[in-house]
Amino acid sequence: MSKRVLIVDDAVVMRMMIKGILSKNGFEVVGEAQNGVEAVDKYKQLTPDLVTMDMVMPEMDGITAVRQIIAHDPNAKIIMCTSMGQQALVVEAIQAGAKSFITKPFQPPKILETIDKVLV
Amino acid sequence: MADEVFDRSEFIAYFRDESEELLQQIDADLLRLEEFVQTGTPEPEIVNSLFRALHTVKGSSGMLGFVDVQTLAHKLENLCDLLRKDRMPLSEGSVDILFAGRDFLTDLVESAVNQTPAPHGLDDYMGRLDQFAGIYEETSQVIEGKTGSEMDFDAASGQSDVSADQIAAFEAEIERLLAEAGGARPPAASEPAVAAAIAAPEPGAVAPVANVVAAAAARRDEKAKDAKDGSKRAAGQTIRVDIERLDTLLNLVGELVINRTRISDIASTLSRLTNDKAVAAPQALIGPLAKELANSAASLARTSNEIQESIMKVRMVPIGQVFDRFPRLVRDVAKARGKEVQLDISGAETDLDKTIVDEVGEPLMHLLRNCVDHGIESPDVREARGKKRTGTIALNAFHEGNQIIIEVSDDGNGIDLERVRARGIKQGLIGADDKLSDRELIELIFTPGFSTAETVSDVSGRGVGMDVVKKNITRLKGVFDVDSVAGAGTKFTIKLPLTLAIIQALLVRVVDELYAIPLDSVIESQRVELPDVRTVHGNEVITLRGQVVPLLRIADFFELGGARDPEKVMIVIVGLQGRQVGLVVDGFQGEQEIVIKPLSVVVGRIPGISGATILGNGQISLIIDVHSLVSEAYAGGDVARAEYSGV
Repeated sequence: MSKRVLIVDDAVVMRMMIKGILSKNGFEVVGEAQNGVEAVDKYKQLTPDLVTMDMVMPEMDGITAVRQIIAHDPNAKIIMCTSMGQQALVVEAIQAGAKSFITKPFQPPKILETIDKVLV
Repeated sequence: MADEVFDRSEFIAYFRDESEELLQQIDADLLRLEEFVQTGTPEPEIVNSLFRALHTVKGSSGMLGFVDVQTLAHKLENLCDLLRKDRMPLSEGSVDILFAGRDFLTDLVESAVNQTPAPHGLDDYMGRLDQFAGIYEETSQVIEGKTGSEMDFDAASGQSDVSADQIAAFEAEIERLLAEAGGARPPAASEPAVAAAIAAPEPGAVAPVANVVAAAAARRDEKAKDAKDGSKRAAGQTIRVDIERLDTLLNLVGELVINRTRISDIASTLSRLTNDKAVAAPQALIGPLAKELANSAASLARTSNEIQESIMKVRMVPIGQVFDRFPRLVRDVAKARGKEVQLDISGAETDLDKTIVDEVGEPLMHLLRNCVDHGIESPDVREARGKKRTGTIALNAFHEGNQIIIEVSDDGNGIDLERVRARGIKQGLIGADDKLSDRELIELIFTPGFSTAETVSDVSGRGVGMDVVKKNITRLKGVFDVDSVAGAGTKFTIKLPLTLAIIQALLVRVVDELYAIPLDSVIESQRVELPDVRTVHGNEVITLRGQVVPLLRIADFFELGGARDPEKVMIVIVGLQGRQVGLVVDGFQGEQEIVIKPLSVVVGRIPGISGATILGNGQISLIIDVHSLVSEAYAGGDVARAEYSGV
């Protein structure tokens, strides 16, 4: 069965791109969220196998969302989507329980590779 | 693993829409930020919102390979970050450079999407921006005690192109930091990915040189290809739709499908009955079928009505999309003219058709410019007149029946009618002895080329006058009106239909034809006995509640002939910019919602007719263009003379 993914990003272009890459490669995108609050809600509701999480978002940032999702489900598999220059934040997110990260602008193979590793 | 290349073109339209929204928000945030220049400490949420919007623009443009957009967004984001971390004071200078940056960003997004050259002066601006940020960045790095490598990344990410090895280095840096933090991490977290990465560099992260070169070459090829089919890249028009509205539509389509099945069932039963010679098709069989068909038709009618309503709603967008850019416009114009102006916006959530929203922006922009430029007085003059130094412009939108009303009003000068008259005489539009009512004087400002401004200012006097505003509004089937009190202010009122495609109409019979009169211009319909119709200067008029209303016989206008009723006239009173005219018809056929079909170019423009529609029974009905009908009749002079003869 294909793995179910929740995409979290406040940029619609970013969500569409990630969605495009994942759906073409056998993943099922079960939901999208545009901020941390929605992300936590949708995680509880959809229990996806994987979450891609943007860091900078309105309402609630990615790191806070990671904390709340991990508190709800310690086995949640979350991959951070980060920009250059946010190294301290990435470290914080991983300490909060994110499994890995990808750096924007990313190439499709890189996303898939990172996801494969996290889903092992 | 699939090694595909993005088809970026499919995302470009989304990118443009999203950026447009974000840039509006950036504008709004900057305007709010500016209010804090005096105190020096902005509300953190404003700066954060600004930062996030710029960050999103940066991320999306980066994914699409719009390097210039990405670079500028990054630099502006940096500036906001300095502001956010209190490393840079909020000053007029910093706000101005952010405003300028926002404008360049807008232009860059357009030029990236349309593949046109970068805006003029960009390099200059980037230089200024770097210099400006440089002052504060140096101090901040000392304060923050950043490591050398971190500083490199900040610099690198601001550079024009982010190369694969820069990303790799950035990622290696994170791994290093993670390794340092090591023990602090919860043991369950991120073992496979991170542990592997620490032990050996990720294969994707530190790509072999050959790969990097190949990737660069691929990117170059792609750029060349993109440039070649640039036309294909031009983004189409899109609209964002609330998902609930689409769901409603989908449900309705579901009902349509059910009905289709019912109807084809009935049809096949009927044809079986007709073909089966054994069955003599007794009434008993046909009766229920007819009933079933009637039910189905009724349900079809209901569903198609609802679909029509929903699809119109899908096309509706809040007018705020247009209003959002005005605070900035008013600020800039006011600043340039040395005036203090406050813009109050209300009703931004009022919905109307996307096409109209797109078209109404220009005229509104012109009106607002006019208000600031000609309406609002300079602060000193205002003070001398006992007004507040800061002038107020109110922009208000609301629904009224089948229309949306947009009002632009200011508490400034008002229109100086004496000046208008003098100007009109000077420009030869009116004679020196002409007696004109106030309304007619105001109408003068709609004459092409008319301007009361002595010198053409760089703000409103660009040769685009009120006549163009009026023409634009009329083209949208709207009505444009002005009210002004000398010394106290001016109010422009724009009335627009909610949609251009479907309207409520009053069907009237003239000789043997049915005509549709758009209901929004109908005031009332009347039956008047012939003795009550008087003739003034050879023109028929009636007196309605003390007001003289000239009559216009549609049959005569269209030269249809036909006999006149010897006893009474049926009149539809239509209103147009404060005037009333009675259209004489032969009978009323009730109200109906009609779909406007434009007349073919072969037929050409017919005065008095705006289009045609197909009625429920398949009959074609011409739609009367009240505006052109009345102005045509007025142009003949007959009706006007009757109205102003002072009966």
